[in-house]
Amino acid sequence: MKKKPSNPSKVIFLILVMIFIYAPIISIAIFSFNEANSLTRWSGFTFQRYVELFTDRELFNYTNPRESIVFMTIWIAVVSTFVSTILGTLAAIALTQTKKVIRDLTMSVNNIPIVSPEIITGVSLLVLFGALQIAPSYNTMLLAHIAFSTPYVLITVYPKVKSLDPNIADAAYDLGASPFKALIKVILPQIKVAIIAGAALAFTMSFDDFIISYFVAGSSGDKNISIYLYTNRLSPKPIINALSTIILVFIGGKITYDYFKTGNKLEEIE
Amino acid sequence: MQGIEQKRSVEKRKFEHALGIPYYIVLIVLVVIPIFLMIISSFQLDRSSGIFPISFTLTHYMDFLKATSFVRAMTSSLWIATATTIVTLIIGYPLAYMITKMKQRTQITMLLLINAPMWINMLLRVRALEQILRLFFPYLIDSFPGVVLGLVYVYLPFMVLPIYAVISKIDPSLLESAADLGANRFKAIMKVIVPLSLSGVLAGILMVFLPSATTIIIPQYLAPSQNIYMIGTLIEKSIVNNGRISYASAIAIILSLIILGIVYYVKKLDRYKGVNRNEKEAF
Repeated sequence: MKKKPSNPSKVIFLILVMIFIYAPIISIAIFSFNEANSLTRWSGFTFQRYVELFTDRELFNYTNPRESIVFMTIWIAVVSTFVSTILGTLAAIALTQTKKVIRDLTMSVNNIPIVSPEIITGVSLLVLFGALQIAPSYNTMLLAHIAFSTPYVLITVYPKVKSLDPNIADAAYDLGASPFKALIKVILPQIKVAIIAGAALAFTMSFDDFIISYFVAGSSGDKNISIYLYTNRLSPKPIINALSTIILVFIGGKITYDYFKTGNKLEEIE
Repeated sequence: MQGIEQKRSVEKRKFEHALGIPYYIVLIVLVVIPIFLMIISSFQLDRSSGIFPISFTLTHYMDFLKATSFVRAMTSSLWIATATTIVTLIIGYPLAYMITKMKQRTQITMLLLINAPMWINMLLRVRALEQILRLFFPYLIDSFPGVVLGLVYVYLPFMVLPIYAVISKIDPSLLESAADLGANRFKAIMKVIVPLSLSGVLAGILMVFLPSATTIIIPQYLAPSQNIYMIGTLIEKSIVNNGRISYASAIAIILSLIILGIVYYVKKLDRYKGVNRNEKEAF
């Protein structure tokens, strides 16, 4: 088949969409090097914002990490990812073996946090913690993060577990493996990729979460990065641009890495 | 021998069933119970903390009939979400279609470029957009089109991805047979691609409409003078500023009912479900 010359209107459309998507992000990065304290007027190049960022007591408190917003955001993301990955993976394995009734019921309940808008999940968790008299803090935030990220781990891991050949696990049992040993040595290694994908999803969801965290912990003064950004929205500090740029570079790096990895895989298949 | 095997299989089954128990508990405590408590709470008077002692009142629900703030917030949310959905569809559909026509490697690159911002914190992206608007289009701040633009910016990928997923699975021989039967290019697209991609479009509509209608962040950044008042802002105000948790629960329940109605209606529209090969439900 002969390759058609690309239609110029199509190319323009694609370019416009890309500008729409990326212009704001690029502008954030550019203004993080701005000398003036302004987000709209350029006055010269400086690294000053980055120095200010890493010496900011609220974001980076090196002597007392419990008071540091950046540290606590990462900590909550790590702990909730760890817990939700274990819970979700074990549940996915159990669900492939249980009765259909239990499986369907669990899947329906599991879908509730995924489908329902975040403000509704946020209000319901707030009511729960209020009823149990648990004061809003980083602890309620952590519990909420486990609640909304485990369903994503489950739906990521479950299809993989379902596709496994049951004979392999049975072979392990026949060779005398205990159920626990079969789980560790046979089942988990086969679903490793799906578990990592689920964990990456859980980590991002927790790290980026705003609405639910804000509802369950906002009144306590315990902030994650999102709540910090939100409460400072009316007095935009230029260090936020520096913080954003660092996050952008991290995520950009991760995405580029993934891209080349999948790209190479694709070429192998071709 | 038979006995040992049976014993082992029972032991194995018990073990595998037990693996799910921790998560069942989490689901009951952190998903099911909160929903029931929210329903109970919506019939409570707003007093001090805790849910006890149980009282019963319809005040909050009666309030909706009287309070203009609620009706105004609800209607403007639904309008803004509808406008957003239409705009994302107008941009997203041709975009998704164009991507399916590219080379495999380019397709992956394009999808990645469209998807990549979703990994970035939404507040950062909205703040970035606010900065651009203040710089180049200051008249869009505090306006209805500005808020819609912000929502389109954030939720466009949610429209492109499900549509792409469906169109890329349409059997190309269907288009060829349409051409053989005398359809021109435009007609072939209208009669083959559009109906067969309906399930993706409907999934995209839900994935854009629901978060748009319930957003908190976007009006707060792009309409800071609060002349555009959405349902998310109302819930946020009731909780954070006034501590009226029962009132917020009642709003959340009304909102859930409206959403369930919309989801039910949109899903019913899907007449061509399961027509494409290897089709998976996107939503």
